[in-house]
Amino acid sequence: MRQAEEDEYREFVVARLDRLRRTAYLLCRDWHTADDLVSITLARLYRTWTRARQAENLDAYVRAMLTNAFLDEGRRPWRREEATTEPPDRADASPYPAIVDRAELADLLTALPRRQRAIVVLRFYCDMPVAEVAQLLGVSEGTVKSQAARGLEILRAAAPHVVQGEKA
Amino acid sequence: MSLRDILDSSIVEEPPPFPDIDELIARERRRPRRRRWAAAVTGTAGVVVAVLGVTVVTGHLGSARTPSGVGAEPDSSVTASVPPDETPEERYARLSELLRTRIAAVLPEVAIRSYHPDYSELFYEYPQLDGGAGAFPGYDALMAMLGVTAPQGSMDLSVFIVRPLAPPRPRPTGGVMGRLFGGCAGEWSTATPPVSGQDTCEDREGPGGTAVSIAERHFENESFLMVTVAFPEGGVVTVMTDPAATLLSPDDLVEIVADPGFVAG
Repeated sequence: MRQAEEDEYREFVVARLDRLRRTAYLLCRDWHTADDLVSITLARLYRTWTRARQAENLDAYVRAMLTNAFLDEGRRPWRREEATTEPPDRADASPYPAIVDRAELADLLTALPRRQRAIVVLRFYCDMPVAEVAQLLGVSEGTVKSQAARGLEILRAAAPHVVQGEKA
Repeated sequence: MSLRDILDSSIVEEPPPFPDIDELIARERRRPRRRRWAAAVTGTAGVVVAVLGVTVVTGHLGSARTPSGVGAEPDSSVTASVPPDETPEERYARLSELLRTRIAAVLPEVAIRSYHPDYSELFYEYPQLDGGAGAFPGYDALMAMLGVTAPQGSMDLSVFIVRPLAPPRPRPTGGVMGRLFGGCAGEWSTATPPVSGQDTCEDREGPGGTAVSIAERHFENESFLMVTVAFPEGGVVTVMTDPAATLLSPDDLVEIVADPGFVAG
């Protein structure tokens, strides 16, 4: 990679690092794993930068790399996690309602299966269109819509007063 | 408040500091070198010759230092566990199991795979060095090329065992064995001059009366970390790996191979 390209890569990464990390965290709900995912993504991006920088929507391209890294990691034996129907017990319930809502929301997101969690994050956090999410995950648009709708129901349960107007 | 803000606000933990981007870039710059090394490890016997050629060339020339206790009786507790009529196949299996156990003691969740396509065990004989080529007269040489994977990462290792064929075990002072036992002292004066000024070598006393040398050599296209443990019983175990790999530190490698069981029998 030429120096100018490397400088361009560094500038791109620095500008988006915080957002990428937060997206990764929403996917995996653990900072250590999130930073692993971001590191994997940025390393792959570095290797393909000469080609990737010409992408029409580079941000979407990088989000796709991050999501694939997340889904790939889930297939490794030591990363394998089980989705649960019940959110985990929370011992340190906060006396402040707003904090309770956020914590409940975090627990509910954690309880979602990986792919559904990815759909929720890509649709509602990254604002990706249904068609792009479907293409990225290799599923039908109907699947994205139905899974996003279920995810939205869960979010409404945690924050009913602010999620009323959203569409799957 | 938008849905994005709600999701954002669900991140209730503070993020830890992220590794430096420049470090990540530097690691990726080194990646082609690591790939070349991995290709060498996974290659054919011809590539093995080349890799071991580096060991011989960069080995410890002269015999400026000899580990304490060379020529002493072998550890009876170790040799007692080795059957006197151990067949080569049994020896490969024993050493492979020993290596697996030692690595797992350092990396509990490790997965190990041999890169040799024709052998189920990790270790196999290396005929070109078993006296046939005159490189190690009076000794036999075994080799293992393996990939080590753990949750923290992965790395490739070449483990090379040279063992005297029969007692009494002579004190190795000349030839390649003399070099392998020589530590760092003779290396810089007589070995192939290093390409870069980054080469390092450190001698130290190891566990159980062993002598340890840890060398990092950089050549035009390749770099090697070589950890050599010379046993008082008269054998040597050398581990070669990519110096950029971090899964196992040089100290970890010493801990793994500093077991007299590797040269017993």
